Amino acid sequence: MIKPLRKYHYLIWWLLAILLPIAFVAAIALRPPLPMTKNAGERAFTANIAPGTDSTFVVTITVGRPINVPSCVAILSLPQKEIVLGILNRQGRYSFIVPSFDDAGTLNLVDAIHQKTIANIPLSKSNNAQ
Amino acid sequence: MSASYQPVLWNRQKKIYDRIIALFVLLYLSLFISLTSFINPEVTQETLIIRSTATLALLMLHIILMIGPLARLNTAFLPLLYNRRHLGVTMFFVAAVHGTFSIIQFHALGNINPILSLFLSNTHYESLSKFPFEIFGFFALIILFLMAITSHDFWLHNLGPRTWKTLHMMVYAAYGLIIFHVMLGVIQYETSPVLTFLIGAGMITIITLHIVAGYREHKRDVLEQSKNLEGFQKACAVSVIPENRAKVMTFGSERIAIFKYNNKISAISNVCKHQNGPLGEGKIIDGCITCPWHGYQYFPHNGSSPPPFKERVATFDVKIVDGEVWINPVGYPEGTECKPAVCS
Repeated sequence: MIKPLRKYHYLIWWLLAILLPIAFVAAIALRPPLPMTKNAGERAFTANIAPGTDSTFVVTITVGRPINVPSCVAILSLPQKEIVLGILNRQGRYSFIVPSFDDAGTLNLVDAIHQKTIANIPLSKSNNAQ
Repeated sequence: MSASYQPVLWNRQKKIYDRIIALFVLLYLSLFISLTSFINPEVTQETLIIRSTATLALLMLHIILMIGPLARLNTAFLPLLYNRRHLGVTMFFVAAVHGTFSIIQFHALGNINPILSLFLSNTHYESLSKFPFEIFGFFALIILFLMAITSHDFWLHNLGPRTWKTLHMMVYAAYGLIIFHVMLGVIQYETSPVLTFLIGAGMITIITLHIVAGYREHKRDVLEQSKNLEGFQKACAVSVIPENRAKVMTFGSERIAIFKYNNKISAISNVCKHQNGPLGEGKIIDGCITCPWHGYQYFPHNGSSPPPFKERVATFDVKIVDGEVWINPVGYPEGTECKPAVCS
């Protein structure tokens, strides 16, 4: 290299020696906190059914852990029919209004993309839990 | 060294060098893909390609950036420098595969142009942790592309060594952009500290090597030549110059290589016409000063390359007084015959 290029080269590396470590430390220091991915004390799914109006019930589903499948569809399975309640996207509490029914039912949680059952939760109007 | 342009002027060393590069690339990709597939069987093929080429390109860039200062600090690393441009072009192709697959995977499925999507899909320019890190990688890839397409003696000749070298020094900017790309990208979501540690260690190593090598060069450049005798300046004792080798001295703004051979002393510019390589760190082979970087040759008494080659460098008047070499730092035009001083 000729002298001017050697000089620029030297200056560039001093500049990088200052800038890059600052950027490196800043990028680590300002990292967002990682989301909690495990909540061992919580059950994955709990479900509850309670009377709504004279002709309806309210199905409440609590998702206690992150859902690690791409699709989670809640289906109420009754002896006579199946009612698609909706999609569970993330942790939280979901409520669905369904027509009243007489017999015990089952709440099926299904990964619709992979056609796999995630959970089956028996539901009855008297005692409803996972 | 060639008198005309050819895509690649192959020789045995270049073939060995390129085979080692190819073997290294294949071995790395095979190992990475096998291990990742074993540890995480659910990983998709696209993700495997994106991650394996990203880490490989980063590793190759670190090696490329270390070769220069290592060769300055220890001549044992000079063979790595000889065909570094092939390593650089290979690294660009690996990085281009990473960039192409990333754009297809993350930006090609929408209803806007994928390149436009790169700039518009994430506009958190105000946040460090959410910053659109892909942009850094995109601009780094542009620089690497410009370097790859000009990595040929055709461009070196037409742009001139200084412009060409300046363009290729943009690799340092590319390195900075890639560090930002990684730190604001994968490191923001990486739970294992291994990658962060490796990036940090690589960065410290590269910076330290360049600063140390640069400092050594800087010290040589600022050495004052005080003694003056009828326009000649004192250089060094004849005895300190090894046979068929040179002593490099700084006079004013440039370096002069003082060669000893066949009981004679000649001085020429230290700057090779090819890529500004340090001629004074080469040796005399078959009567010609041979550049340690790429083997360009010059006669010591006139600074001209042997026919049919046309490269020429400046020559300098030399005289020997009481066993000391004196140089007239005002050089002759490139390729001018200059009578060597005879050692007594």
